[in-house]
Amino acid sequence: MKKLKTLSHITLLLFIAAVNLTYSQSDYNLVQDFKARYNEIEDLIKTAESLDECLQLSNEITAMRYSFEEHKTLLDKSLYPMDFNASFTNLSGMLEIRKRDFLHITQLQAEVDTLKERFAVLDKANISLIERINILEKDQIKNSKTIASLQQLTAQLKANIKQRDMLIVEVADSLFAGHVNHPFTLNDAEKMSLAQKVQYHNLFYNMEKTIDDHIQFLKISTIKPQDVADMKKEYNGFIMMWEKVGEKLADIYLVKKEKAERIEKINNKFAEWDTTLNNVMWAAVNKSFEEKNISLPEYNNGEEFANSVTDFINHQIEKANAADVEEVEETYYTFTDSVWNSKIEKEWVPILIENNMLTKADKDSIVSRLTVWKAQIIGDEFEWWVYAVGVLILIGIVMVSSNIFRKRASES
Amino acid sequence: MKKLVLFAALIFPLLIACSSLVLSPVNYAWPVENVLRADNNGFVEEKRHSISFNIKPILVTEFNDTTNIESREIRIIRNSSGFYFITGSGFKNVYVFESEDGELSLKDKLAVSETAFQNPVFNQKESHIELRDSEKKYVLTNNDAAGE
Repeated sequence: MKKLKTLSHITLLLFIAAVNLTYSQSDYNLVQDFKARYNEIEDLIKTAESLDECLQLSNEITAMRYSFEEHKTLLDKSLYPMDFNASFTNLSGMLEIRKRDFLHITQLQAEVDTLKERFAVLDKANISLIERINILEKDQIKNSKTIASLQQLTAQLKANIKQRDMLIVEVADSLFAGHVNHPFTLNDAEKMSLAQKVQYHNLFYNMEKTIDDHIQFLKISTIKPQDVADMKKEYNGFIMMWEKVGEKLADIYLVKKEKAERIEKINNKFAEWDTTLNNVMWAAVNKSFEEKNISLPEYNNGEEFANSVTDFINHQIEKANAADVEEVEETYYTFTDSVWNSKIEKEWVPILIENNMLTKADKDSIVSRLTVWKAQIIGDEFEWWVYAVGVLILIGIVMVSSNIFRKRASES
Repeated sequence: MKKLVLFAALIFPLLIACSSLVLSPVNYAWPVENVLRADNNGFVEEKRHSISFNIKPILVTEFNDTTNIESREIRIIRNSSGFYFITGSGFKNVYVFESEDGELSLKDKLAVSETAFQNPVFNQKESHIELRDSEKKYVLTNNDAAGE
């Protein structure tokens, strides 16, 4: 609006100038006047905020040309190194570039509006889904219907988050699509244009929101081993994308402290996402033990997990040596048959190793302790069993032998 | 001695030929005047045509005063013959200078008006320099000023 007022002022000035020019006494003043107006219109082109303003400026250029036309000869001589026509060609050229900027921005704005709408729909749906999942999770008594709806809502939330991820990747790709030069170098104008696009796409907010959604989803959902690979894959893909984008953004916002802090904040959120993902996964692993009343010391990574399990086994071995063999035996079978062999080793360990959360050496150290424990348990059983069988065989031999002797004695 | 005469006989025609080389006509005219403000030391500089000089002697001649020199503005234009015309607000005269080796020498001091100029301006015309001051208009040549 302010700009339009300025433009009206210019029109008025041009009118006054046209009148003044008729009575102008000084060629010098006329040339200065021309230069001043040229600079004024040039500035207005640079700072134009809409296509409408550009169209109005186009009229101003025509009016200016018209009002100075009769002094063309003088201006041709005086506007060194330009001349009358070159001045207007320049102004029109600048205006055309600015118009193209606005056409591009208008087009971009339309795309952004569509994306914003899609983001808003997903955000609203996710908030509602998270609320409903929370309510169902808090429900102490879960019947089959509740569990089914919980599963359905979680699946829907997961699908929505995935869709949002894809939107973010789409936005990031579109932002840097035109800037593929290696190493990544931008001039000041390109940096400004890119920063404007980042702002239009609300990239920072959308990145933060996406990570928050992932973290929230991890906190409310029950993770199964088969989910881990997907979640890790999502995280790795996302952080790889951010590392590329973040590096470029850091270059753009090198001098803007606030934006640089925002980038740092997103980096921290990624760290939080990674930590939450790991914690949730280890909690899911631990749940398999807890369900069978096996209490392990706390762990949050592969090494701690291996130490925790081996400590538990060592403790059980010591306990068996001391006394209470029956209890240890029961623990051993629960540990091996119900937890380790059927769930941990079979389902979790391959995924944990695949995702670099557990090393093969860690697994081997657990297996080696389990062998010792097994030897202890099976060893005791074997001794008892062998004695029993031995006694039975001996009784059998004695009975068979006495029968044979009896038969021979009766025959003789 | 003979050799010297022979040498002189050879060189002399060459020197004559060089000195008689004339490029004509030359148009020195500036399309528009320029308005120059003096610095603290009285120097003005015209950047487009690359000329700078000190205006103190003009001020002394015109006003017999060089105080507040940095606020002084002069108007300058060059005609087609190459003479510089200088005047300013408060002047009664137009000073016509010709360019010489490292200096501008006064060719003529045109007493244009009995009253001091208020807002004088020079315009380049086909055959002369036009001086305007408010409603008054004068035709200036190298050595003459006439009201229109």
